[in-house]
Amino acid sequence: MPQSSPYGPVAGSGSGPGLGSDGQFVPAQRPAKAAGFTVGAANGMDLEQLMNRVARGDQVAFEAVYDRLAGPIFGLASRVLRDRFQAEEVAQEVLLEIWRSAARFDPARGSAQSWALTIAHRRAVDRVRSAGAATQREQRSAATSTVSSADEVAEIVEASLEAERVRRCLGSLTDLQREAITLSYYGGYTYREVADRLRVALGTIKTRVRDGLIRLRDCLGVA
Amino acid sequence: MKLPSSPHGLAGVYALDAVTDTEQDNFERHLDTCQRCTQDVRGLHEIASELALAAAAPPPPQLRARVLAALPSVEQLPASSDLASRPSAPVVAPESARRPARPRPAHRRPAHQLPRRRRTGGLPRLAYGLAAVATAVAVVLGLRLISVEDQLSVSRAEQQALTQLLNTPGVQVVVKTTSRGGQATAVAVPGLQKVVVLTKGLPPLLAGKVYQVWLIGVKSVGIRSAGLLPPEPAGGSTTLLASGVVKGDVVGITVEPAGGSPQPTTTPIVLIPLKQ
Repeated sequence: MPQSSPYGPVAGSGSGPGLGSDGQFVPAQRPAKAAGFTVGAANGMDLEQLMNRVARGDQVAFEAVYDRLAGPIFGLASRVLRDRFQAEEVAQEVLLEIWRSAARFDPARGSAQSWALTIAHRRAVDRVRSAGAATQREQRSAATSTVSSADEVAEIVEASLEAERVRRCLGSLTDLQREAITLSYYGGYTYREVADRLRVALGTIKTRVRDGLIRLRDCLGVA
Repeated sequence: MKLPSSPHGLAGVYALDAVTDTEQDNFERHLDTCQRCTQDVRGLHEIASELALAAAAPPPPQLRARVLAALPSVEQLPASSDLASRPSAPVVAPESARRPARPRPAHRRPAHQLPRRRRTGGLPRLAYGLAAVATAVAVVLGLRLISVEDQLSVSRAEQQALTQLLNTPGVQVVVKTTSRGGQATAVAVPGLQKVVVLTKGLPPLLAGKVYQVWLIGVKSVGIRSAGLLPPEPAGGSTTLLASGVVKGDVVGITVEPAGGSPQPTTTPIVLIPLKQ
């Protein structure tokens, strides 16, 4: 095949069948999640070890942190904000905040996951309570679909297994406990707002949330 | 018995961030003096994070590249919590027209281990800006070293094309991991008919084999070769500029015999959809 240079456009490449038209072009199998890491060690580390490295400016470690937390962070933000666009912004802010504040993470005060997801939740709640957002939130429909492309199926399955576990445990709470927790956490409402919506006393919300969380813990077997 | 006034009663709703800023401040002051409460809240936060995990959803694919690209521009805080002596150093990232400004609560720096709501960080508008994207892509892909002699697998024309693309409003950068490892990135501007394909970390091929890039269109358009990828220099990256991109094209890379093939003969190691 004649070519003027070893690299560059190949002469004679014409049109042909389109994508997927004859099965010739099947998508490559979903790449392993960790394939992008140049330092394989990052994969075997727990989040706390990774955070330790991130605190020292290790970008490879941060990639591993990203791969473990971006889904929960984005998903949580989507759930609270009910808006993919804003959720993406918040997720980006949170992930960079994790990078920025990694040295402030203190393993003696809780898990890295809890630290990171608390940052994420607070950011999302800040955003949803900020001016204008509250009314928009009221107007938006209750359900937001946050998916998807073919690539993402495995992740969705993984996530939905966890979601199923939590859903099952939420189902074991009393209605009031469950509603108080989901409105507070996923809805981003203050407990006063929750009390208003559920027409119960403030003190009741406080105790139901706490009791519900304890019950959830027992059901999930969280340490 | 009147217990509701006990600050500790807030532990549950505090752990779910279902309190106002003032309540949060007051409760955190209480935590500073109450070891048992701190312990209690820690446990409740762990349960809350299960609720977060249950909400997990795949983030948009472009988010990863954007976040990684912005890292170099975000200064990391030291471990010490001596905040007063440090001036706040917001990341200066130009805003892109793509991302309209939104009203945001004023943020201050975290004064506690966990950044407080509405006090979290001077983390700024993120690097949605084009300049940031450009730097970003360069850093991510090692193009920062573009001027270094041994990295010059990128022709001058491609460099210019890349720079031009990266500075065009609406530029999109899609990064995918290939099935053989390494990453392939497509930089394209909708409507511009051009795409720059960059790869980094693709495994070297045996003699007589090359990586060939394809533009895969809908049936009526078909599959067109975009050319052969120059080999990556050790530790470097390589790029290829493809023209004639049409709406709906997907960029694919296959392994082909030396010289390339008129049509792909193997399964692509990566497919990168272009949103144009």
